[in-house]
Amino acid sequence: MPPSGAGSSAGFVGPESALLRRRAAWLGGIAVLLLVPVLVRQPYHITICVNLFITIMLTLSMNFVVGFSGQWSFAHAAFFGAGAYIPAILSTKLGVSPWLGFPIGVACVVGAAMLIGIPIVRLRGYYLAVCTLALGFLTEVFVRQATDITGGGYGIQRIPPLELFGTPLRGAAYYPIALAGVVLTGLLLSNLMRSPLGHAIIATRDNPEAASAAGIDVAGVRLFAFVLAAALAGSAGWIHAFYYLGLDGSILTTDRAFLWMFMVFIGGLGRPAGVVLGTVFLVLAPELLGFFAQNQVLWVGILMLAVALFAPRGFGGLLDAAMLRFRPAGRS
Amino acid sequence: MSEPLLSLRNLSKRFSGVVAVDDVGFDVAGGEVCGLIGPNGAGKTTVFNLIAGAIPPSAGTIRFNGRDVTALRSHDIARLGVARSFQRVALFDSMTVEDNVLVAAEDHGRRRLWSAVTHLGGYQSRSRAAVLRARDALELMGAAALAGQRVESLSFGQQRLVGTARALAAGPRLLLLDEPAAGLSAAELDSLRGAIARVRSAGTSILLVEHNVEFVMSVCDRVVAMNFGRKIAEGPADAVRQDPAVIEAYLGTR
Repeated sequence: MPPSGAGSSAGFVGPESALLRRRAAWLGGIAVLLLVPVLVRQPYHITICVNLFITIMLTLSMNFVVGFSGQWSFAHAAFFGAGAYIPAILSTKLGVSPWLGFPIGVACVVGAAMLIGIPIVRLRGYYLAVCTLALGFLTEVFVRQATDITGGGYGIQRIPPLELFGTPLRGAAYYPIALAGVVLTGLLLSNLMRSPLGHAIIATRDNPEAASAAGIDVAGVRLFAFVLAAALAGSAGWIHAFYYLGLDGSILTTDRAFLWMFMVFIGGLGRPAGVVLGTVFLVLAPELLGFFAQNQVLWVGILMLAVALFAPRGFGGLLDAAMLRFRPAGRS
Repeated sequence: MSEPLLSLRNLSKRFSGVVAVDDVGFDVAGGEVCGLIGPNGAGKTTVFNLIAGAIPPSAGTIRFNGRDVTALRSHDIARLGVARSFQRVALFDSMTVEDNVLVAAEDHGRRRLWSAVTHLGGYQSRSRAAVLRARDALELMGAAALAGQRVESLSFGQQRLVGTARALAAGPRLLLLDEPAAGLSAAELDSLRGAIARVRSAGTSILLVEHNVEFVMSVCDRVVAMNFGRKIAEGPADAVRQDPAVIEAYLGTR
């Protein structure tokens, strides 16, 4: 238990040292990750890393909307798909620059999320989950059936790569883009949660009635969180499209949204560090463990059960417990 | 004569046939401490919810600070300077005591999205002004020592003090307190009394619902009594206490 008294009120204004430590951790992490493409030569390993970064963007943003904002959104795969398909179609069929496709795609996703979000954020709990689930299925069907636009089952192939000064960014050269995506996502969310708007998001989740009495526009805050998460998923979609340079409907199936949700839960809902761990684990497990790859659904199910029974707060919860053991009490 | 800070006129609220508040009207002047009493189910909390904009009235008007606020939503009314505490306390469970209070002290009216996500330019995730207001509110309630604790570890009385501090931290012009004394120890009651005196001397009006009659009599300038959704008496605390209609409401008819 944290001690009461003057010492613990340091939480009011984060001490300078904590800020510096946080910055050092971020910079150190980025530096190490930038070394990966220098040390790892195999294209397949680069693909694993890029896939990992994209997935972390998705699980972090999902954790944000579900864990922090308290809204059960399963439409994440749909927003991810839209963020991938829109710039891919624009660049492949209309010759729009892939770079320009990014703001266009994200703007479309934001517009769609707002349109859907305005009625949907009034729903709570299961109703919201069912509604966003339905939205995910609808998008899936649309992509499969609207053959003229999305290429149906064949999808969009031969997407032109991103170019920088005339050099196409492929393989290891693309790695920094995916890294930038995940780093910016992490920084943005971490900063946001340490701002009045972040406090308002948590307050709205904890007790909407009291939040509203404190001057917080509850519906506005929920809509903001829903749309921001969608925009981040859409950005991840853009990174996906121009790495693989080919898309089909399998990227936005709802079972992927469920897999991301499992990563969030195994990692620990509302604990970003744990979510990153959970995602790394579930993305790498099939690559490293043969038995896991063979029966992935089975093992994910078993893991989910184990977490639910023995570590309901996920990896993040275990991490917190371990930290408490090694740190002096009173630090939060 | 200048307009009162808060005025309710012909206020009614029906919940699918049940009349919870029936044609109620009264004023709260600037700097006044007004008590709202009545037996359980008299409609006091519904009146609070109507004033705070948590629910819309079925009929009637609410004016605050010279402005018709009848149709405004809860957060807009809060931003105009109406803060409230809740009968069921309603703290933000995942936060520490200080963060609970800080959230209410922060200005949620303006969106500073860019600075919130970039933290550029000497950004402070907790504005000094809000931090100071939050600290003052906690100190005023004698709860400064609890600052770093999680709210779930607090006693019921302590939670109530924090709930009141949270309402104070918003720096309101009108403070609505729903049973602020319930579950408080004698020492905590003293802090509450002191806080009410301080807040009022700073010019804030207070409307409070309370069952502790002694407490109401000791802090309120004026008392409004309700029963079955109607106002049955209004006036100085002692006069209302002696009012036959009020005695009947509490004790029943002989």
